[in-house]
Amino acid sequence: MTRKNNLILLILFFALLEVTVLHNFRVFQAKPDLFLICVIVASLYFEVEYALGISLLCGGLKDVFGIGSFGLNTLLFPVISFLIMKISRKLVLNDTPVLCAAVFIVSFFYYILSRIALIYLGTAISFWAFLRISFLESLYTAAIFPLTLKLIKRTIHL
Amino acid sequence: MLKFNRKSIIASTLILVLLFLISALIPVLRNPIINIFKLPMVIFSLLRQEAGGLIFFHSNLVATQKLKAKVDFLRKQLNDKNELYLENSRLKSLLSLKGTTAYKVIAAAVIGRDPSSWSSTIIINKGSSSGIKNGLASITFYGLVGRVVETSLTTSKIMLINDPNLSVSAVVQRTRQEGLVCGSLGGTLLMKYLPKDSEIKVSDIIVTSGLTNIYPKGLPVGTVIAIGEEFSSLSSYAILKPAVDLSALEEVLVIFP
Repeated sequence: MTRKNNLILLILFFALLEVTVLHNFRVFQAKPDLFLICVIVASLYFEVEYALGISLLCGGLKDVFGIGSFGLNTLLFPVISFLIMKISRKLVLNDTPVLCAAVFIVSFFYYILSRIALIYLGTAISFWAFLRISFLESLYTAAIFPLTLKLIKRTIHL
Repeated sequence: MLKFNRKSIIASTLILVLLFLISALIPVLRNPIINIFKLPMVIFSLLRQEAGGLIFFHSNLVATQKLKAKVDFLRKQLNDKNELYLENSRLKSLLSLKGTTAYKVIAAAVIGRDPSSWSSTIIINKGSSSGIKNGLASITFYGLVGRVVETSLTTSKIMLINDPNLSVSAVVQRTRQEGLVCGSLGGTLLMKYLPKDSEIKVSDIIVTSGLTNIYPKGLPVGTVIAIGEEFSSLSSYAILKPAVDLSALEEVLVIFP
């Protein structure tokens, strides 16, 4: 139980980092998505109900600090979590490089889904801006994944 | 690869419906949750400022030296402008023209930013209890920042001018040609719908047109860094460098018309 509570506290800490400090660590306007990393870790290492709960919390927090009349991430994160859980049963994701590659793919897939949803919600983002943000952020998220995973593992004693 | 039976399809559909309902509830939950997070956000932004000051000590030192040199130059310019202002006031009173209204402003500190990359917003530490309402314009001493889009009792969200959902009616200061400035999510802005034979040049200053009541007339929006022709060849566009460094905002002013 403490392990699970620690992860929730860590997510709240990450939320504060995302809205304040991480802005200073942007590279070409891109910053890593710590929420998505938490969703991936929860989907890989915890049972279905808890992972879905974590993805709901992460998506909800991301939407709360953003704008928009609909909680897009609250919907997308659990869907992504569910897909990761389904796929991880078929694939072995143990090595760090393989995990990083998986994070990059999941992240890019998440951005594609976001763009489709945003177009549907009436937000026009140019194709090049989308490609730049999606690619760089996926890369950045994948690059800091090992470090974040280490921090999560240490905090929740995985 | 993925196998679904009838039971799991029904369960998935139910979960999806539930997720849709929760997603629709997010805007209602937003203000209470941000109010809970306000204090930690203030602490974190203070820590960020202090840590930034230490980490970027040398660049700050160089910037201070440059700014000191600039202050002397600007002081002289301000003096010249004051002379012109006084002359303008005298001539206006002679012609019995109505003077421009002085705007009431309220200062606020930036305590957070949008974690999503698809929009560009900031969270400030003043809300409806300080009189802030949706739709008010926000500026710094350098120019236009954006518009208030959400307010709670003690916090507000400001959509920045580089957000693709925000458009500002603007004019070229030198030629008075009108256009529409839109955000592009990056470090630049796009001024669209300029006449094809527009006399706009690189380094021209773009200011708000004052056509809408939202933004006061004459607020600096940006400087032209590139000019191009639309694909349809019916109009031109200009790429602007924002007058305000939107990535380094720490304090903003909200204007009450």
